Amino acid sequence: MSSLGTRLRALAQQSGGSAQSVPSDSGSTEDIGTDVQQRLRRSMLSRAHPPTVKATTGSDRLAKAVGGTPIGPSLIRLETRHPRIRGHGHQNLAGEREAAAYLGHPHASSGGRIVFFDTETTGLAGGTGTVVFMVGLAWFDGPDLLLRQYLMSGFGGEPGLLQAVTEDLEQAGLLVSFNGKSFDVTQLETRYRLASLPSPLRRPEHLDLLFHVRRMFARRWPNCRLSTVEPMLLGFQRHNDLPGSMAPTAWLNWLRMGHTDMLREVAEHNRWDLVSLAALLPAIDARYRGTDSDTYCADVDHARTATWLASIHGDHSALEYLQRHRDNLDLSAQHELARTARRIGDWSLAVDIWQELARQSDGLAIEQLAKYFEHRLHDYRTALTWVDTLLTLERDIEAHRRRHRRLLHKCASCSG
Amino acid sequence: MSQVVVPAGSANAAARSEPDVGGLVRSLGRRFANRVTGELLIPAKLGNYADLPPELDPRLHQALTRRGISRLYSHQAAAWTSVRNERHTVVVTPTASGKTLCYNLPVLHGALQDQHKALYLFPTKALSQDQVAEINELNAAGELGVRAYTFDGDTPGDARKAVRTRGDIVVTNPDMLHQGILPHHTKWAQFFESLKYIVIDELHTYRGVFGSHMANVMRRLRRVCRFYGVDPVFISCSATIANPGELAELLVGDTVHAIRESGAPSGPKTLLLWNPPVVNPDLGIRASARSQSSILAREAVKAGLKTIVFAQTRLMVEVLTKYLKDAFDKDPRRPARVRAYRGGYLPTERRETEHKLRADQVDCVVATSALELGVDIGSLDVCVLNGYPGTIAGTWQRLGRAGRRNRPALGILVASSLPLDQYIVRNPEFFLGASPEHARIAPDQLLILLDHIRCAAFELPFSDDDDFGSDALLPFLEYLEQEQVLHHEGGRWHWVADNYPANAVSLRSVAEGNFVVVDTTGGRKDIIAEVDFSSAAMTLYEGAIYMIQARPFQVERLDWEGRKAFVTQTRADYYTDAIDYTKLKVLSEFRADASGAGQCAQGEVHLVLRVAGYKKIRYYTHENVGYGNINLPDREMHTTAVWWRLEADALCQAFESRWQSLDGFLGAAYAMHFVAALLTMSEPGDLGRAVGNSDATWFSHVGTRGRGSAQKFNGDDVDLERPEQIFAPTVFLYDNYPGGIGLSEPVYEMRAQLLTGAREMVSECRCPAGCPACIGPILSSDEERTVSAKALALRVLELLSAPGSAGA
Repeated sequence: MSSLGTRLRALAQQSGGSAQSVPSDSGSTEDIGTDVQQRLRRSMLSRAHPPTVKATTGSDRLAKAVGGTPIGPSLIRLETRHPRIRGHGHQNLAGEREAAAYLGHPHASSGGRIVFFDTETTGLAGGTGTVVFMVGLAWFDGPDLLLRQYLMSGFGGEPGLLQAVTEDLEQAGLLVSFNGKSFDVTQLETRYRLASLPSPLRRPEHLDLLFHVRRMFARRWPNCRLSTVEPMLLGFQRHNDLPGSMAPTAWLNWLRMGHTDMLREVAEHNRWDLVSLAALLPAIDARYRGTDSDTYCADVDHARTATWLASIHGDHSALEYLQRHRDNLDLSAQHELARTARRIGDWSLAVDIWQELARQSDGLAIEQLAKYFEHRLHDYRTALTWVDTLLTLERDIEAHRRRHRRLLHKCASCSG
Repeated sequence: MSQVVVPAGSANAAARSEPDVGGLVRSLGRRFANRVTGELLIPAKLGNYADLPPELDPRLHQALTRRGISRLYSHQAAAWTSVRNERHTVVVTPTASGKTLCYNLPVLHGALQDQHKALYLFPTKALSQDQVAEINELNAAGELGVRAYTFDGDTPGDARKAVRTRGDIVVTNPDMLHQGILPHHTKWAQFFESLKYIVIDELHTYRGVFGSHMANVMRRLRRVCRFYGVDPVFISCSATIANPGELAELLVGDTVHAIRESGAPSGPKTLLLWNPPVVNPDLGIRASARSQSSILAREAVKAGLKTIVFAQTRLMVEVLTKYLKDAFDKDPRRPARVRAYRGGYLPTERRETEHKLRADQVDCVVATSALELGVDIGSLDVCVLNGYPGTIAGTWQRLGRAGRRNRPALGILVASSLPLDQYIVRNPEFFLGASPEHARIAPDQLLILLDHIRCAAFELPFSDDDDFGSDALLPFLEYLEQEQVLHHEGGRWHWVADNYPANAVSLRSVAEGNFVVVDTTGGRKDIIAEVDFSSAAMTLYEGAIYMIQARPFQVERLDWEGRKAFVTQTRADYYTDAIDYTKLKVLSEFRADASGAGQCAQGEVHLVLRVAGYKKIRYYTHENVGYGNINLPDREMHTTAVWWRLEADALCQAFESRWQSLDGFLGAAYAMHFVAALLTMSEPGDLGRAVGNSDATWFSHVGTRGRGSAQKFNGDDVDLERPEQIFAPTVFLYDNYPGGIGLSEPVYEMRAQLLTGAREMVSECRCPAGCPACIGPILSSDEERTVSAKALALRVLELLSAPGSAGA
């Protein structure tokens, strides 16, 4: 180790930083070999032109280990097929175009490929220092879901990877991801920018399923990670899956020590991510449209789901959705149903719901009834009785008292 | 009311100009002749003007005209020409000389004519906001439509994208550039591709550790700019320092054209150096600076002069404001004549004070250095400095607050009892004749450089043949590869660690791992202060009294690993002082020279600091009321130092005993330490001092039993009088940062000046036997000695001085 290195390490310690001299794994002969190679390379470096790394031999070995084909310098392509008829968990792999259309991407039903998209990176920190070492793409091809993954066996593979992804996305009309809008796309666009290449990720529309999962389940589940979503929505359980957080280590272990095992697992993990994306699309659609059996709907946050439906497909869709789940609606969803009914003019339905909730002493429902009788029916006396009830529940709210005074006044002027 | 009240209207401004300032000076001179130790008259200077450049964009021309600007000062015109010729430019601008136009003119012109973008860097957030407000006023005046935005920690997430993609001028600070922009430069691609100007205002603030970091951030910025194919022109503005051009070149890393001649007019100015009267001649105790500043401000305001008082701390601002309000704002129904201005106030409140000052609605403002930096407050007549600001440059910047717009002005520097202050007022020729300090930075300081190479490698991979800084880059990259941060492949060094290095690097310090002070009083958990790693051991040991704004807190528990000190409020009538042992070993001597009868050298040293215990000292009486032990790990560092030593022979002839000469060394070291800080424009804490044997067998401290005791590092006493004991006492002044921050070099260069200064400081002090203003505090028993500690210190300083320099 250079004397500079020794000094730096000592100074770092003196200034309060933790000394991080991480010893590389020792033991296996492979490690020692690599370490020696590195030392040799370094010492040669300081004198002469650096030798080029033999990335291709490395590529071959890695390609074999992960079941892929070297397609360029330091670049491996893995291609596998997942038949539609196999399904995923208890979810069928079908109806993706209709599903995408219903989820707000109507063009998806006609033009362009629907491409499922997921990346593996050297870190979650973000910024220009994070490398996307694997890009997984999948689309339906005849009877199968075609899974295509690009894996860099070294940094030299990046230009090729970016180029290959650009070509694959030429026919894409819609990208489907899980948290891709804030993470995968941002990271990959950074790589395109650094390579001074135009990004192919801007043109296609982008459907990020995380938003839908959050809408339906954020208030129900401890988190909305894919690993949580899979058993709940797809009935799919992974076995011996390498956690996504290990991906950086896996790639570094390959780079530094030539370990291939973990990268094979990363590739498999990435493939399951892609299949899950393809299955999640119809699964979420089914929950909106109620086309699935009711078993898996118990958890859904119907109020927020209906709000979204109303904004995309109009009040009648929301109403229909809530009516369908009428027996399973929680308080906020019942209010949502009443609100929706009122908006489309179905006052009797709205009043029915409010009266039912009023029997359970729900203040908001009673207030709505008071408003309904005062402003809609001009029945000030009934309105006043509702406000009286309301004041027994929520005594200190100034708006209620104001309403009470106003109604007293209106009653007096009507009878007098 | 018998007193004639001068109405504070602008109509009377001319009528009360010169006679009042002159009258006040004469009156002060007559009544307090013995307090004025120096006087300087700076004659008025006429303005030097130039026409607006003919090629200036007509919209901008119109905006300026509407704002009442029909011509430029000569330095503004020179800056325009220099920048338009694509030269990196630094403009040295006194306070209120229209510096913002130096950069706003070319930047706005570029934005209007060529869609050029600009990045403005200000050292603080508050200044950024002022700047955007100012650009927007010009914008409004000329309907220019140039978009200027601030980008800092307060910018909301949803606004950031708009700033990145639509801003013509982005105003930010170095910390944000370092942590928020550069590591995400691809998001800023559009901005960088059209970036033409980089403005660094308040350039003089980038010195020491902060400046060294800043120079590296600029290296990273230019590297990213090159990636986007641009090479922006740097425009910077600096207050008066000795080396603006050199500092700018170090920061920018390129040749910079310096414009040093200001064309702004200034009125005649009088400067008085003021020493508070001695109130206890025996102990050499003087009246407080605070009382004198208060008297002077009262005199000035009574004479109808607009006055600013600068205090060093926020607390002192409040105290002085109270004293002056007691005098002038007794009637709560009338608008306040005295206002305070300091950091920690809400921006709206500060804006209001600024506005009232500009509108002549306030007679006196008491401020911290928050008002020193570029804030426009209009003209003032008198500036009182409560204590020496620490640097000559900083003193002139504050004094510059008085005397704008051709009016005569008065500045008064009131000395406190600190050694630097006393030295300044007793040596008026030093201050009045001295050029301002050099601002020094050490961009290639190993740790700082390594931090930024790390950050730069994250931003863009290095190639084998890349440079960064003046040292060879390759060994650093190899080191980082061993740390598993980088991976070398195909001639490039790629970032592979799963972290974000900029977050671990603070631009304001050299070491990571600051300590936070947590107030746990009554179940609270408030963070109330942050303490540098380097001073934590001396101030945050368990049992220590830690002071914030003169409020005492006691440290209950110190979590060394977690970098936290848990404190509770206390009412202790004592403060605590750590007893530390220093062991310094010379590793290599870079250079050496004779120094009088001894030797002076500079080199690399290994330092071990052990904080062994502490004393409890009662307020006012200063008696020891207890001791405590401290169990903390030793602190070790390699750094650079300058040292002076005298051989035993020379000492034998000059002193009766070894302990006497050691006493002399301790006193001399105290004085030399402060003068070194003065000469290097650094804080006294940036330099450390130690006295010990040159072979590190023993070190000496001002002990609890008086002076002149020597200990081994384990705390055992050493009997110096034993003849076989090796005796070569040495004064060390070391750079108090691991690896050094480049202070020992100038200390060595100025070694002759330093000794002269120290001798003057000691010999001209009026105390009989030594005091905190010259050789450090002494015990009352010391005064009864036959030879005073002060005389001994002078003897050492004389022995170290070259013969013939005695009268210098």
